[in-house]
Parts: sequence; C-alpha cells; structure tokens
Amino acid sequence: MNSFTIKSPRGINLLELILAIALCGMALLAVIGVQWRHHKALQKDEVRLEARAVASSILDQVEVELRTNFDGVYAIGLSPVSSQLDPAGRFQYLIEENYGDLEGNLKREQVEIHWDSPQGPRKEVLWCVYLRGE
Amino acid sequence: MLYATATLASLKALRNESGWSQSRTQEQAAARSATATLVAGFNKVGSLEPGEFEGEIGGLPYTATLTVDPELPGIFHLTARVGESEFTRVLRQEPRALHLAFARSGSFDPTLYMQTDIDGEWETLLLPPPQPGDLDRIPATTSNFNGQLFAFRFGTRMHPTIPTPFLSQYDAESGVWSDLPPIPYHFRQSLEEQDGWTMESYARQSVLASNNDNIFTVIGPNNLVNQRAPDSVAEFFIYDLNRESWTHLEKPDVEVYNSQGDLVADYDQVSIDQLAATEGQFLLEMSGAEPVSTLFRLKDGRWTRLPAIPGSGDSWGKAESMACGPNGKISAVVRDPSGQVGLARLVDGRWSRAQLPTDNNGIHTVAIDSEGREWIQDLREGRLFRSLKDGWEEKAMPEQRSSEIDLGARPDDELFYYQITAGY
Repeated sequence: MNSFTIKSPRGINLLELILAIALCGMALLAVIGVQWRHHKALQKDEVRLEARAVASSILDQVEVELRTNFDGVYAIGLSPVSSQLDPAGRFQYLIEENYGDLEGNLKREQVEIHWDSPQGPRKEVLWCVYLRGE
Repeated sequence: MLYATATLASLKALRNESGWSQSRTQEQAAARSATATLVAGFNKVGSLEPGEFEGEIGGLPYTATLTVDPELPGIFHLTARVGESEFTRVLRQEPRALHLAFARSGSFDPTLYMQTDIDGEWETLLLPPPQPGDLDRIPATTSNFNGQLFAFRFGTRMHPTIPTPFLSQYDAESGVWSDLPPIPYHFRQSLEEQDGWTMESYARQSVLASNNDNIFTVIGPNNLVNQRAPDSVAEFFIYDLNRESWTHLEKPDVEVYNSQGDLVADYDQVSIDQLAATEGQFLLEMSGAEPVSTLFRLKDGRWTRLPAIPGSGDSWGKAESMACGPNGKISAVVRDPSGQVGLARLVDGRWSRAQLPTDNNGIHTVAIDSEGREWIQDLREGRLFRSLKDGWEEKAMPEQRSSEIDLGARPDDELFYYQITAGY
C-alpha cells in the first residue's frame, strides 16, 4: 500500500505573531519617540537661537549709539522687543550697563532676553565690553 | 530602528551645533571685550610692547598676543582668544592728544588767550603782527586738533587799496604766527556803494571753521540769494592745508525750516550764522525769516540737511552756538521761541535734549574737544564747564569773557596713545 504524507506548511504560531507585532510596534514607537524628542528639542533650541539673535541685534544697535554718544544712557528695564526683531511678540529684553574702569573709557553692556516656556521663564544673556572711541 | 538611530545621531549633532553657535556668540563678544580692556590698559601705561597676555573677563579665561605687523611700521595686531573664538584688532600708534584751548574776547581790539593745562589758567597770546591796512580786528577764529589757531583778518597787504581777507595761523608748538594765502574773495566797491556794505560789514559776517586738513569760510553779505543784486551774496571757500590752496565751494540749497518745521524757500531772508568743523566734517547753520535753525553737513563734497532742532513742547529752536566733534558728534545750544535755552545733541540722526550746566537763559557757547567732551561757556555768569560722563566740571575762564572758545590738541612725541583703525 502506498502511502504518502502530505506535510502541511508550518503555520505562524500565534505567540510569534504577537511578538512580531510587538517588535514592530516598539520600533515604530521608538521612531515616533525619537522624532518627537527631535521636534521638541529643535523647537527649544530654535527659541534659544532666536533669543540669541535678538540679543545680538540689540547689542549691535547699542554699539552704533555708543560710537556717537559713549556716555549716553542705554540701560532699560524689562521692555517688549520691537516687532521688527520679534514678529511673534514672544520676547522681552532689558539692558544693564556699567563703566569698566575709573577713567570711563570702557563700558560693559549686557542684554537679557526673557521669554516664557512650558518649563517656566527662560532668559538668554549676551554682554560685551566697548572701548571709548572704537 | 536604523532610521531611529540615525535620527538620534543627527539630533545630537544638531544640538551640539546649536549649543556651539550659541556659546560661540558670547565667546566672540568676550574675545572682543578682552581686546578692548587690553587697549584701555595700553593707553594708560602709554607703551606698546609685543607679548602674550592672559586673563579673565566675565568669568571667561582668555589669552591674547600683541604682535608687530611684519610690513607696516607702527602697526600692531592684538588677537584675543576665548574658547574656540578669536578677535583681532589692528592698532596704530599715534601722538597723544593733549589739551589745548584758545579763546578770543571781542572782535574790535581783540584779546587772544591760550590754555595748555586742562586745569590751568589762561595766558594771553600775542596778536598776529600788523599788516598794511590792517583793520586791527579779528572777527572770527578757529582751531584744529593739530595745535593751530586761525584768525580771520582784513588788510591791504596784497593790494594797496583793495582790502583782502586773509587768515593768520598760530602754531602752538613753535609759538609763531604766519599768514596763509589770501582768500580769493573780491571786495566789491560798487556793491558797497550800492548796498551800503562796508568792509567792516563783510568782516562781521565772516565765519570760519577748520579741521586738521581744511579751513572753511563763508564771507561777504550774509545771504545766499539777493534778487536785487545777484552778486551781493555770501561766498563759500575751503582751504587745503596740505596743498596750501583755496577752492570755491558750492552752496547748499536755500530751503530752510520755518516755525512749523516745514521747509520753505525764504530766498532773500536766508542768513548764514555759524560754521563748525572737525575731522572732515563741516557744519553750516542758516535761518530764514523765523528764528529756526537749518543745519547742513558737508561731507565728501555734498551738503546734507539735518533734521530741524526741537525746542520745548512742539516748537523748533534756533542754534545760538554749535560744535561738532570726533566720531560725528554734534551739539548745539538751542533757544526756543519762548526764550528757553537748552543743549541739543544729534545722536544717530535724531536730536535729543540735555540740560546745560547753569540754569539761566543767557547766551551760552559750545565747543567739543578731541576727547568728545563738550565745553559750555555761560556768558551771563562768566563761567566755563566741561562735560563729564555723568555731569559737568567747572573750568577756569579767561580774564575777559570770550566770544568763542576754540579747542585744539598738541602732539607730544614723548607720549603716545593707541588708536584702533580696524576691527577683525
């Protein structure tokens, strides 16, 4: 008597299926997670970079004024940044200044940019010392 | 997973880069600050010795080197490093600007004074030697930062009968008076008869200003346009101290501000009242029928009208005295229509008001020295003040109240200061 055995193909074990789905899910979550972190971190850094750029522009403006009036008063309390520099109206700034020597030939100008973030208030500081007549 | 890993790596790189660029901005500013502090120190010590320096600024450590330019004598390179950032200034050695001031009392039978010590007294200066036909008067004086005083005179030294305007130059270093070539202005006898102008009228209307390279004068009848006698108008001249020659200068526009601050062409009414100059910059003050000043600045051969000078409230003022100083600084003593007097400073193209050192509405004059400090003379109280960074200090006055103070500076070969000529 001839007999033969038909080997039926081995089906996917349910456990393996679940495992595979879980692995795919984890990978997907990892990708999404990394993307999210990436997105948030870039957003955070973008704000800081933007704040630094605003501080740099304000310091440039002070420098221009120092050239013609070194002894002028440029210190200012917390004030809104002009809409040209900050169209979103996100930042406020303040300027502190003091002479760096007894003769009054050095002047330190410090610009602080303040803003609110979900983690609380943040600030970016940029300072420079200028020489009379430069 | 591979994508996630790559993204994470790219994120880290991006964050490092942005953090680096942020700290780099402050590092660069700190490096620049370090060079400013070092130059201030060099100025105080009065010597430039090549070498290496170390220090800390704003909590950031820096290193710096001062080197001699291999090709250009007297040029130094100062480079400061903070972290990965670097800032270099080019320094040039120049004579130290010492104090020197001149004063003139009166036009008729004048007295000249000189002050060589900023805290010292004024000494009387010998008048220039008389010339044939000398009118014995000095209607205007001016000085530059090279220690030279120029006195406006009239005489007949070039022609036996026709009066000639000329300048006498006093050099503080040598203590000698000399005469410059006559101003190529031709006194018009016919106009004198026609308009009743006399040589004294011309002399009274002459104004003068100078910087280290040029002298600028406006001479003749005090108007820009004369429809009745077109030739009877003011003429503008500039003298090149290096080429020793006079050149005719184009006149500015005749439109002047009125009491509303609008421009009007007050053709026959425009008068030229003052000149001021420093470091290649010339200022001219004119007014029309109303006592409102219009200032023109001459730079690179072109006249530019400056904004009207605000008085108190919504009014516009008349500059009774004005001066320009280093780095484009301009100051004026301004009287508004109510008679109130104040100090106006042109900063970044806009006028700002400041308090005078004395509280009266008498006549004040202003001058600016080589350090950019204002000198205010109160002619009513007979007092002289110099501006400080946060106020005024009183200085000695000449024996007689002067009609003007001219500030100069004298080179001294033994002392040097260091002038920055270029950035990084």
